[in-house]
Amino acid sequence: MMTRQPETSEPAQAPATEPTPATRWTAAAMAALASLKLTVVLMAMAMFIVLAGTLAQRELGIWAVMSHYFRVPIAWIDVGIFFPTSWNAHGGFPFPGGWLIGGAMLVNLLAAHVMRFQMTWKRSGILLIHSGLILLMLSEVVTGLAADEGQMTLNEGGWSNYVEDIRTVELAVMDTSISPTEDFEITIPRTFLTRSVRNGAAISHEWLPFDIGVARYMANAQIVGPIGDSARAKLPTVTMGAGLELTAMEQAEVSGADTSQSADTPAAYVTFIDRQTHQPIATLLTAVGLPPQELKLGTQTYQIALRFKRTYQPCLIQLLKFRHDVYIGTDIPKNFSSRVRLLDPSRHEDREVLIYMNHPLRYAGRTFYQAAFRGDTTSVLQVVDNPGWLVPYIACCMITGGLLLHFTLSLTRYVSRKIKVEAA
Amino acid sequence: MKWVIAIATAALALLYVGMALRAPLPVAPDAGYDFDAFGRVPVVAGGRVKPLDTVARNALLLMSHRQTFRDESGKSHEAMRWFCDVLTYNLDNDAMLNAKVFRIEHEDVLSLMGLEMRPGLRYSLGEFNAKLHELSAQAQRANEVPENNRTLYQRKVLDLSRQMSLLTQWVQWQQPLVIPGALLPGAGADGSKDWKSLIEGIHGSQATGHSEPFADGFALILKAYSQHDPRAFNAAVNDYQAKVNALLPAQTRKAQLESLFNRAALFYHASVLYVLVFLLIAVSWLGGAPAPAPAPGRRTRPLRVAGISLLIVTLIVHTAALAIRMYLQGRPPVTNLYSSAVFVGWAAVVIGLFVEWIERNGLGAAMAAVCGFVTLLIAHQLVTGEDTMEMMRAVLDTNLWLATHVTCITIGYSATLLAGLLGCGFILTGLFTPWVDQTLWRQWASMIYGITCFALLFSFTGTVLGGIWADQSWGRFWGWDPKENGALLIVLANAILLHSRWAGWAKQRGTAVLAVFGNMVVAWSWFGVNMLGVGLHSYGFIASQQFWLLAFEISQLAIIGIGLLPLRVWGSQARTQ
Repeated sequence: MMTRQPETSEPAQAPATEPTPATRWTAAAMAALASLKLTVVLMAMAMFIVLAGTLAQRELGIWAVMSHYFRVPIAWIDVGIFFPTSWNAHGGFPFPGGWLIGGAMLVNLLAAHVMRFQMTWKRSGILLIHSGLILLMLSEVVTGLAADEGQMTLNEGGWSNYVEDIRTVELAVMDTSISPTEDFEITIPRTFLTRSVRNGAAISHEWLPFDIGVARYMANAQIVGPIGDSARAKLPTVTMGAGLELTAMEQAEVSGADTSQSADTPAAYVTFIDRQTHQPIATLLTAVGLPPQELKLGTQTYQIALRFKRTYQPCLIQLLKFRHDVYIGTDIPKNFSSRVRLLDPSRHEDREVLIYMNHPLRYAGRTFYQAAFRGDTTSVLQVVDNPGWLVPYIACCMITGGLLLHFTLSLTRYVSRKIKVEAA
Repeated sequence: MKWVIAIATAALALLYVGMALRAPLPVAPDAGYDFDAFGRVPVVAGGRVKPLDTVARNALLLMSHRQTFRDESGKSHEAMRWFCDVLTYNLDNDAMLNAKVFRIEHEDVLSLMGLEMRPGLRYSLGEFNAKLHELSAQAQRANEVPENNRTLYQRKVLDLSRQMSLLTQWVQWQQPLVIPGALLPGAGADGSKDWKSLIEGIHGSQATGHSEPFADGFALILKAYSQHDPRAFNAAVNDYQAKVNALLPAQTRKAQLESLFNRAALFYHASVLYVLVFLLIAVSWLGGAPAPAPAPGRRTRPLRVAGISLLIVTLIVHTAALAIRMYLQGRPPVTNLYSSAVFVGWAAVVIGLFVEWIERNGLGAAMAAVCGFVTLLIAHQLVTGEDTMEMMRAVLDTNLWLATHVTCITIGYSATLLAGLLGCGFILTGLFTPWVDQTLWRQWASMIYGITCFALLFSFTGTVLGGIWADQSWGRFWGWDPKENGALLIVLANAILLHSRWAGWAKQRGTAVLAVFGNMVVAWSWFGVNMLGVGLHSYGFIASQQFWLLAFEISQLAIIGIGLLPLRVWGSQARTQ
C-alpha cells in the first residue's frame, strides 16, 4: 500500500511547452470569467432582480426597494410581489442583489476585454460600448456610495443655508449666546440616539457640560394634547418645556415602507444628566415639528431640537419669488419656478438665479432642483451633491457612439456580402 | 409590368382614402342643421383651444364609448347633435333625456339606478333621472375610501357620478370656455388665456350693461337650436364663425383642421389598409409559386409588388395623420399612451419597409402591416374620452426630451416588437407548415438579429437619455422608477438575444424564441408598469388593460413553449439541418 506523499509545491522544472496546472487553471478560470455565456446568465439574473425590484414598488417606497434589492449583495425576494396583493402569498428566497450581479458583470466585462482585446476596426465599436458600460456601472457605484441629497424648504423672502434629509434625524444642542451672528451647535446622529435607548448608556460630548440619555425614542410619532394619566404613566416624566402639555404617540413607520413617499416624524424623550453626580437634571420631549425646547441650566440656556438631519451648504439661498401656473380651466400644473438669490461671500457670489423644471442651478459641486411646493409661497428645492454626476453623460456618448459604429459596420458588411452572393 | 401594378395599386388606395375624406358620415342627416360648421367653432377645454366637435366627441366617447349615439327611436346621430341637446337643456329642450348615451356595465350600478340589463348597455338619462340622489350618496361613500382600495363597484359609481357632474357643467354653460378673452398683447401665444365660460359672459354683460358679442352670438345659436329652427341656427353659426375668425384667425384655422381631422378618421382608414397589405402579401406567398418553396421567396410576384405599393401609400396616410397631430399639439409625436401606440406602429412600418428593401421576401412588409394594424387597434382601444392631445404636466413639458428620450424609447419598442413578431411568424410557420427551407430559415433569423441590433441601439440610447433628463430635472441619473426599469429590461432582453447568439447558445430557432420573449418584455414595460400605479411615469390605471396584457403575455409564452418543441416535430424542411 502506498503512503500518500506529503503535498509539495508544484514541480519547479515543468517543461516549458506543457502549461503547468496552475496556468491551466488560471486560463480556465479566466476563460470562464470572460465567457459570453456567463454574460447571458448574468443579464438574465439582472432582469429578474430588476423585475422583482419593480414589482416590489407596489408595496414599498423607492428607498426601501433600493436598499432591499439593488444596493445589496444578496437580496431577499418576497414571493408575494409576483402575485396580486389579495392572494397573500407568503415566503421568499435569497437571490443575488444588485451589487453582486453588477459586480460580477463588471468582472465578466473586464475579463472579456483582457482575454479578447483586439484593436481592429471591426471590434472598435464593441470596445467603445463596453468601456462606456464599465464607466456607467462605476458611476452608479459612486452615486450609491457618495451621493448625498436633501431638501431645502424656502418661504418667499426667507433664507436657508442647509438641506434636510427627511429619511433620518439628529438631536441638536444649540447655544445661541456665544456669537450674535452664528449659533453654536452639537448634533447627535440618530444611530447614537437609538443605541443609547438599547444599551441605556448616556451620550457624552467633551464640549457639553452634561451627558444625554434617551429615555424613549419613537421612529414615527404624532404629537397630541393632554392625555389620560394611565397612558401618561407609560411615558417618561417630562420636567420642562412643551412636553409638560403635549405627548408623543407612537405611530407605525411609513417612510420607505409606503408608496406615498411620506416621511416619518420621530420623537424622543431626552434626559440631561449631571456629569458629576450622575443625577438627571431635566427631561424634555423633542420631536420633529416641535420648535426647539429650552433647557435652562443656571444662567445658561440651551436650545434642544430633534430635527431632520441637516447638511449645511457653502452658500445662502433666498427665495425671492415662487411662481406656479396651471393650464387654463384645469388644475394641471403648467410650470413652477423659483427666483432665488444666491449669496456666497467666500466666492464673492451674489446674484439672482431662476430655477425651474428641467433647469437646475449647479453651484459648488451641488445641484439645486425645483422639486415641489407647498401652497403658493413655499418652494422646495432638491439639493444633490453627486461627485459623479458628469460620468453618465460621458458614458452615454461612448455607448451610443459605439452602438452606432458597430451596427453600421455590421449592416454594411451584411449588405455587401448579400450583393456579392446575389451577383454570383 | 412591375411599375404598372405598383402605380395602379397606389392610385386605388389613394382613391379609397380620398373618398373616405369626402364620404358622408354613417349617421342620419340631421334635418338641415349644419353641425359640421358649429363643430368647427374654437373653444377652450382641458387647457387648450380645440373645436367644439372634439369636445363633443370626447364627451360621448367618455360616456358611451362611441362617437355617435342613438335616440329613442334607435336612429343614429353624430356627437354634435347630442352636445347641442345638452347645451340647450336649460332652454326647454329635453331631447338630452332621451339620448341613450350612458354605458353602464356594472350590475350593481344598474340595479342602483333601477335599470334592467339590456344588449348594448346604453341608457338614457331619462331612464335613471329619479335615482340621481342615490348615486350621489353612494359616490360620497366611495370617495371616502382611498383610491387604491376602492372596489370595482365603488369605482364605477364614481365614474358615473363624475360623468353626471361633467354633464351638469355643460348644461349650466360653465364648460367649455367659449368666450375668447380680452386678447391684450402678451395674453399667451395661443390666445388661450382668460377665456370665459358662456355663463360668465352672460352674467358679465348683465352686470356691466355692455353687450358681450361672443356670449350673445353663442346664445343665439343655442336659442335657434332650441326653437327647432335650422335656418336661424345655420345663420347664427355662420355669423359667429366670422366673428371668431376675425378675432382669432390662427386658432380658427387650427380648430377647422382638427375638426376635419376628427371626421377623416385617418388612423381608421390606415388600419383597414394595413389588413389589405397583409392579405395581399400572404396570398402572394401561396399563389402559383413553384415548389419547393411556395413560402416567402425572393421571386418578385405581382401581389407582393401590389402589397408593398399599398404599404407605402398606407404609411403616407399614417404619417400625414401623425404629422397633423404633431402640428395641432405643437409637440413631438409621443406625449401619452395613445400617441405612443400610434407612433410605435408608424416606426415599426418604417423599419419593416427598410428590412423589406434589403431582404425583398415580403416578410418585412407583412410584419410591418401586422404591427401597424395591431398598434392602431391598441390606440383605438386606448381612446376612452380623455383628450388624446391633453396638456403635459410641468415636469414633462419639454419638447427637447420628449423629442429625444421618448421618441428613442418608442422606436426601441417598435423594433423589439417587430423582431418579436418575426419570431412568432418563424415559429408558427416553421412548426406548422412545410414551407421554410434552410435559406429562408437563415434569412429569417438574421432579419430578427438585425432588427434586434437596431432595437438595442434605440432602447439603450433612449434609456440613457431618460437618465440624463432625470438628472436634469430631479438630480438622479437613475432612480429605479418602474418605467425606467421597464426600459432597462428591454435593453437587457435585446442584449441577451445578441449575446446568446454570439455565445453560440442561440442559433436560428433560439433567436426566434428570444425575440418572442422580447415581445413579452416590451408589453410589460409599455403597459404593465402603468398598472403598478406607482412612479412618476405612470400615466394611467385601466383595469381591462390588465386582462389583455395578461392574455398577450400568455399567448407569447405559449409560442415560446411550442417553439422549444424538438425539431423533429417541426413541419418545415429546414428541420433536416
